Amino acid sequence: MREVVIAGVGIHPFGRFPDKDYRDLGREATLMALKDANVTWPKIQMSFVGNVMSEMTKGHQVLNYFGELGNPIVNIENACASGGVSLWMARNAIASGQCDIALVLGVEKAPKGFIANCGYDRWQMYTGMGANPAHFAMLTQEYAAKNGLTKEHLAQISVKNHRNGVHNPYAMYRKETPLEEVLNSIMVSPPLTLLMLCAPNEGAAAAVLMAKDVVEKYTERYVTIAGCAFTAKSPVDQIFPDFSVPTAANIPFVTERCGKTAYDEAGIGPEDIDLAELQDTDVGLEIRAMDYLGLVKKGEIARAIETGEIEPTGRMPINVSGGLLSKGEPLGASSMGQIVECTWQLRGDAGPRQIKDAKVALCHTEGAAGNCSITILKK
Amino acid sequence: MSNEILILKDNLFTTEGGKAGLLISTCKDCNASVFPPKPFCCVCGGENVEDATIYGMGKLRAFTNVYHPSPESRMPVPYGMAVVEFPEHYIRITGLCTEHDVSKLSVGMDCKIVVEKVYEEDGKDVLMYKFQPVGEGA
Repeated sequence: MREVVIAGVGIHPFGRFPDKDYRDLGREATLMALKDANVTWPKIQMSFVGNVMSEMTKGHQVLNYFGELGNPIVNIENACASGGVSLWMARNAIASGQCDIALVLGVEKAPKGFIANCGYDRWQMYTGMGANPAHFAMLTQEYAAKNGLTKEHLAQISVKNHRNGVHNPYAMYRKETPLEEVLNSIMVSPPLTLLMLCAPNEGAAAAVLMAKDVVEKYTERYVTIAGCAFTAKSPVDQIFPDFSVPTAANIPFVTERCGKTAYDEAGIGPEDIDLAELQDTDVGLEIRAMDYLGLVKKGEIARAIETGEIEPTGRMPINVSGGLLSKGEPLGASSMGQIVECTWQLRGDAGPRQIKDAKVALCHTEGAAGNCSITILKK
Repeated sequence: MSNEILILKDNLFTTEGGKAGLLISTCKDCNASVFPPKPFCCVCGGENVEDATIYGMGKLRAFTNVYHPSPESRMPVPYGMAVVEFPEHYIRITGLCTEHDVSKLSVGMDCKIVVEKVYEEDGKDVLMYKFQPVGEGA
């Protein structure tokens, strides 16, 4: 397989933009990525577009504006991992020699409030069991009970991510939220309060991928995709809309399986990671991901939260971008938002959020049906 | 006179003989169980599966409640939800919980299966399975 690199990235801020169509958001991010990679649109041989909620042929509607190249445009929907799966497909296309240069775009314009159409059956929705936050809450509650985490530990993740988001001009909420504010915000589903859950919103993020053997014709400021994996849930993952788990099956959780594939491909382990962007749909998912990916020592999650180990100044900075808790979650774009952040971090372009000497970064997204994508980038 | 009954989905639960039970299938080769039942095993892929009904007590593994109606929900809020494990059937099942006050619940409590009216539609009673914690404090 050929080595694949990220030659340029672009982003449209995550937030609410009543005067803009999803196409506007996608085009802004795409143009920024093309300029960053020093390429023009006709050089793009394949495009992969992650989106959950827009119309038919969404990628075509965003991109044909730049010119109809007649090249493949693939539209991809894999819930919160749509962008990560788009990147995985583009990487595979270049690595296998199908093309040299590809665009990956994640774009979304999600309505406010509960996310509908998450795969539930009618009997689940009518009887109120199609409530995503309740399912997140039960996973988090059980994990917290088993690992000695208090509600303060959970809240601390939200405090950290909001504090980090203050320094991110592309985030939706750029305000610190003290512990009491997180704990006292509206109770959604115990133990999760409103400020422990991310808000669906709007945004776009893009990357231009190239084969390593062509990138130097365009730019020297690239980062390498060291590992890239996509995994869906197995029966043991307690993720809606499945309502049962077989306790006799001995299969690792989806995050662990996806992480192993990505680590193996990169030929590294969690000890080599300098920073990670983890899916924080709720505070509990960030915590479980850092555990299942081995980023924090097993059984020491509470200590890691208490001692600042996962803060920007700590041993393993998690969500220095502010995570989805401060950026908001434009479903199709959230993975690519992580890729943009980590590319900047590895190039030394992250401004006030810069982690000193960052050489290896991990991006993780996970959502409905257990769609999990993990990308490891290296300098 | 009681209302007519409306069942939203067959093959979830039974109330035959006045006893509430959940319908599952278990693989005779690898012990993997699934709810609602399927004619094959979702872990090993085999067809050597046996249908079974869970009547016994389970253990409360996780619980929460819902204060805000979710998409297409017909349920009055708040209501409880829980994950209950039935070790002898090798399965954990997610469902509604009769108790929404989480301060009365703790992990490991015994839970029994009940089938109750959850809301009314066109003059009919919609029934659904629920978990009823019966341990201390419930």
